[in-house]
Amino acid sequence: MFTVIGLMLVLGILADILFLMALGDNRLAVKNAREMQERLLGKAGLSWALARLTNDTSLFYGIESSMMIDTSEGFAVSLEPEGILLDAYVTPKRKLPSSLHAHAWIGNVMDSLAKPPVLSLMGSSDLNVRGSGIVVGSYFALHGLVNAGYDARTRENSALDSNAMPDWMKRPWALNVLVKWQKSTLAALMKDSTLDSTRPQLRKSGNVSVEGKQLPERTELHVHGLLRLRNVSCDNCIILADSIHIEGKTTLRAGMIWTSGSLWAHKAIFDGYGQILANDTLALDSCEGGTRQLVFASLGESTKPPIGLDSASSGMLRLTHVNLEGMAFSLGVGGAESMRLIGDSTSFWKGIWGIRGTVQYAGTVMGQVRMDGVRWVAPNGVIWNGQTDGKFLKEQSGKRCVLPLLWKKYDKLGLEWWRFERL
Amino acid sequence: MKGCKGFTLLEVLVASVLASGALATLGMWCYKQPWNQMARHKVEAQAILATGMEHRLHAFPDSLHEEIDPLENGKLATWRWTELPNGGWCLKGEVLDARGKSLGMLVGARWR
Repeated sequence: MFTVIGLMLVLGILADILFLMALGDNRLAVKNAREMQERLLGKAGLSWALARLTNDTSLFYGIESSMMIDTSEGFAVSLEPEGILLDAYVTPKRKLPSSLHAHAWIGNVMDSLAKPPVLSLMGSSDLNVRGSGIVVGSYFALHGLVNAGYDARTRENSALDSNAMPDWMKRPWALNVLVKWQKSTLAALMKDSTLDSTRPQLRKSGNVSVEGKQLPERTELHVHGLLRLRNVSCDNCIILADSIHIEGKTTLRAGMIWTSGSLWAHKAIFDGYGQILANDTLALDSCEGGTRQLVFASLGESTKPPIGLDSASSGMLRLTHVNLEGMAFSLGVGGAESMRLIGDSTSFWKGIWGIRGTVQYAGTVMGQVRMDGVRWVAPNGVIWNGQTDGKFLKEQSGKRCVLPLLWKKYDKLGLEWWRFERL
Repeated sequence: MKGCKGFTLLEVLVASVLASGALATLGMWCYKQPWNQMARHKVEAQAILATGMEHRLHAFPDSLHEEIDPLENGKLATWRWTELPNGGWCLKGEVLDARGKSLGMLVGARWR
């Protein structure tokens, strides 16, 4: 009897091994095929999203849709604003545990805008510049260390271990757009931008005053002259003017405000994702922001004394007691005194400051402050993993740089930072 | 405890485990031999298919009308573009073995 049991045991184990081997082959082949199919679906979904966005710019503020490309295969795409870019997720229609989904940021592509020479974003990558190595331009490491012993003056700033950064900082910010600070390029963008024809348009010349109004959603307001807004509210508006003066209980939800001159705002509320850019001066006083990302930028191109400010404040970014719940990226790239942040001990700021100028801030900063506009913080694409040894790193022209979606002058949409992730 | 013919149950079990191990090793050795191509054949076919698909999708829309060599690395690969709504094109690819049996099929798409 025991002989029979023993033999059955041996045969059972043998059969099991052979069965598992055969099943393993099959499983491997099926798993491989599914993964390949999911990658193809991810790329198809991104292609579809780009095509839809190119044809219909009104989709910039988020869609969720799905598409079948075959009787059994399809994908679902979700597009959500992520700062000034668009976050695209593509998931296969036929989802399995641990399916792959594609993830990318979508923005406008401008091939000629160079990225900074040293950027380290993905994984943990240290850059060691040794010997006679020189880095021309900016450097940044999101994970890891930049050890640059090439310039005694900058040594104190050269090692940046940002592993402790909160998650929300590890997001694509507008910085990549404004890298290198080609001010003339940016100013040209602001002047010549062609905007969205699908929006309600309002074009005026001379000084315009808008008071106590709820503007239609997604209005595009062009003013050649001074625009005064008082007790106005607007959702998703685009406002372009030579100068802008905002006061009263003006609430602007999402959208974009650009001025080729100066912008002064007092007690305004900026809610939702948005960009507030001024070619000359950007001065916000006692303003509030919502929980979404905001971008404040002043190029510091001094034109004339801004309304409501003395001439000494010309060409600067001045944020006085600005209370933001969300994170903000603010930069001043003008002259030596182009930015002034004033806050008391109760002030709290989440985000990144890029500053060439003075900070008078007594509150709490959760984020990063980079001084002197040369060593820039730019969470963006060029990945440098390794070290230079007596080499000379130059700016990498020819690398793609993604611009905000609303800068439609470069209306070729492109993907950046795309990758596959497991669900 | 008695087993059979003078062997204890423990001895039978140990012998069984050792025998199973030896057989498994033999099975694995056989599996890795060149004459056992079955699994690799299929995985290789899938890789050929995926590469072909990637190449054609990457070259879209130029690849829409490109001449297709159906024989890739000794395997018969077929590719077919079909039009989708909104300017999209679907590429369906399949690899067949020498007997015409399907070794894998993949679907991709691109939009203009």
